[in-house]
Amino acid sequence: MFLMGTVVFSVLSAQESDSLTVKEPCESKYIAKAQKEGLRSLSLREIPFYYYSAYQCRRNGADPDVVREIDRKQLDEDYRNAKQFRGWTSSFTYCVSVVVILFYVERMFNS
Amino acid sequence: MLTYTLKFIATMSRIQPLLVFSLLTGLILAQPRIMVNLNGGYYEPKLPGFDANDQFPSTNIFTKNILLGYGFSYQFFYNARLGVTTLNSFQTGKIQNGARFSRRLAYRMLTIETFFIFKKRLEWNFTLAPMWNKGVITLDTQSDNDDWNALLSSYGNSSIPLQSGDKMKKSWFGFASFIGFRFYLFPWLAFDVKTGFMNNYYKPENWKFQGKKITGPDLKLDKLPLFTGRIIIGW
Repeated sequence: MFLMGTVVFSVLSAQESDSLTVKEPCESKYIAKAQKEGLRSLSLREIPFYYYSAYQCRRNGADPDVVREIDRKQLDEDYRNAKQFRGWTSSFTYCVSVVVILFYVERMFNS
Repeated sequence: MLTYTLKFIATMSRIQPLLVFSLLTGLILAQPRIMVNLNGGYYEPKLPGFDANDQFPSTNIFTKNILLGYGFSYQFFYNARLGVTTLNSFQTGKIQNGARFSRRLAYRMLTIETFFIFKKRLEWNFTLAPMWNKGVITLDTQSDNDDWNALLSSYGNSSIPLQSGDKMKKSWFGFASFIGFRFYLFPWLAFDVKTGFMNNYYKPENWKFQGKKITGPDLKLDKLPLFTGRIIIGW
């Protein structure tokens, strides 16, 4: 099982070596993808390559704002996606709030 | 019916590795929202089974009130995450007769968390967590063994005390609930504080030692306020 996982992961990762040797790390395909589709569009497999490229990009000082801009865009997108409750989550939140508040109120009266 | 059930179990046990493998491959290839966290917590349990028992070393804030742990969560909906978190209370030392003693209370939570980001980088979150907890008490002792002594002395050796250790264990259910606040420093790094409580359905009976049921320490773990702080790394 572990071996199988290792082999598959190696095969998947092996194809990435070319893209890591891009002369200009700020132009790697992972950074391009994150710029275009957002940080969350990267799969778990792509994330280490993205951070490696981002590190190289920052170190080379070619375009230090690229990674910062990707982070900023992602924070904006997270905010847009989660600035209000959707579906069942509001009811769940209401229940949790009531349970926690009642616990502390009861405790306050008991003490 | 029994035959079908056995066949189903046999089939499941065969395809289980395939299921796990598919899940892992899916996580690697899919767009994940996985977050790993390191936890610290503070609570005030009453542990008369240890505090009022002069066999055990005395407790202090680190061994009684501080909890340390870790966990991970997966965002499966716009405003919701599912995760697993463990908080542990440790104590080690020596009991009265010198044997090494360790005690661990592990509070293991299956967390269901909803959240909303009310301002960029700032989030309120709300957690409900069924718990499956575990207590383990370990003693490492030294004792003479007549059989070994007889064998050793037959070769002209003096007796050597044997090292032996064993554990008594117990599991119990509980639940916890929290309201928390999170600050995102980066999209992948956040700090989180939570306040809430946990309730444990613990009874001293039915600890297990050497396969036998025994009575364990008296612990008051119900209706405990709990405060936690977390460092969260996510993708």
